[in-house]
Amino acid sequence: MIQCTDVSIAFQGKTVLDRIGLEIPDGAFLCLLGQSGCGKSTFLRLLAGLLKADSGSITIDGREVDGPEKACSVVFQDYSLFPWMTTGDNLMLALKAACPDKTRAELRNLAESYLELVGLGGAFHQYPSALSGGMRQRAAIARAISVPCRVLLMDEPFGALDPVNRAMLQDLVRTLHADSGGQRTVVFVTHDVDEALYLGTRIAVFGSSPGRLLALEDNSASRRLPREKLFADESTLALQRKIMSVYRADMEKKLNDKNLFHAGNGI
Amino acid sequence: MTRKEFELRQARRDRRIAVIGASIVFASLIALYAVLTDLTHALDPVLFPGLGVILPEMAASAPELFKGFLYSMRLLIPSLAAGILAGVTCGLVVGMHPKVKLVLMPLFRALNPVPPTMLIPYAIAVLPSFWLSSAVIIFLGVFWPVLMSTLHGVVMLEPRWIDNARCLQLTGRKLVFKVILPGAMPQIFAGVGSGLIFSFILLTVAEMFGAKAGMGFYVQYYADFAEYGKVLGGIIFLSAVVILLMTVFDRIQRRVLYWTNKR
Repeated sequence: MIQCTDVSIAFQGKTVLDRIGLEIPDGAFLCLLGQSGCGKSTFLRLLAGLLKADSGSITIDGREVDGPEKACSVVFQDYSLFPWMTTGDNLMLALKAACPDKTRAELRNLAESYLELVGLGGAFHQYPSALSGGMRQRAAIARAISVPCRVLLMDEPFGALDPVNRAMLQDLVRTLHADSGGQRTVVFVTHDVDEALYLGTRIAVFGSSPGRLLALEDNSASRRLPREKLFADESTLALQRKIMSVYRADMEKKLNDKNLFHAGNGI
Repeated sequence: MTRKEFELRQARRDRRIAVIGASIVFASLIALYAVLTDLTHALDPVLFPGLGVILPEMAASAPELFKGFLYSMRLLIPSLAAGILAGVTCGLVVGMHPKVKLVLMPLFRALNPVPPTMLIPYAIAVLPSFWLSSAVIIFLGVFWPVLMSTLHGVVMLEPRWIDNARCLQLTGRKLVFKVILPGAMPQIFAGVGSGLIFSFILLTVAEMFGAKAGMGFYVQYYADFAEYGKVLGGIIFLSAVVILLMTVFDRIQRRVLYWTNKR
């Protein structure tokens, strides 16, 4: 279980996250929803141990997060793979760091099987630059789930993809999470309400300036429905309206925030 | 036709254009020179000897030129290698430690622009042998651009690559050799490229000062006797060597940086 208590962080005197309290049970798929600049990516970096909170605590299974967290693997929107290595070498580098005792042949087999799992069987010897954006994200997901970690952190992983690729990868992530049988917790950052409704078993809505938790909704019922039925389902639509209204109120508040604009410092 | 075949064909066509075009330009320039010297005698025959003089001179002093080439390489290669190695190592170490960088950066900014040519007389006075003083001058000429570009390369690394490396629990040597060094390679190569060109200049300048052999020495020596056929022959030979070395450098660069071309 991931337990966040009163987590706050400020950059250059500006509060980015304000006393976030959140509990993520094992096997949950939590979507962090919010407009850009609300601190949701910062929150993810805190979970990954890439940043340290100014106050409050984050624990994973009762252990305080301190430095890059072994239990977590991360997928970013882009730049997840190192472009100077083949896709296979990218996976093998991660696997070697996670399982130093395995032989090269074992690592290779593992890497190949995970690439196959995400539908990239033939991409082992390809460089990332030779792959499309969608294929790169598939490879990044393969690398993230290939290492033995229980928490998968995804920072707007499909933000740069075309709609068809995005839908396919959403299906992939949803299936992978369902197949893990509650063994893997996913925290997924997005600003797309429908994406959150489709993927998340829980949805946390973040408000901006300063970033804080506005709402935490349960969406576990969505997992029974395929995509086309989900967005015809009454309770899902009700949840969508509810989240939208919270989201919109926050956006309007930010637009009306006079402190956002500084006289004379602009273009 | 796959994308790869198409790219290959495009590359082959480009190379053909380059080879044919460059040959035409070269041939025209040589022909023009021949017209101005051997054919019309429009230029002064002492200062501008014709090809009929230069080419036999080059053939006759081929052993001497080759010996000069070996002598120059014995000076250039170790100095160049040491400069690159020291520049990259210092750049990585300083670039990865922000506090060290804060302390040393003003020093770098002060020392970096000092022209190594200015140090030649002093280096010759201080150091025991000519070889060592020239080597130090070339070393400095390569070291500074490589150091500065490596520092730049480390600073310019995509922050998410570093985040990724940290998430993958990469530390120490693995972090340096698998992520930081390859990620900084494009900038490092830019620095090595300018260091390389600078090293040719410094090599020949150093050899003109007090060497007993070498390509720069050859040119300087025969200029003193007003044997301009040999001087021009030496310059042509030197250019050929530089072109050869630059081609080797380009090949290596293309191989190491294949991943930057297609992004």
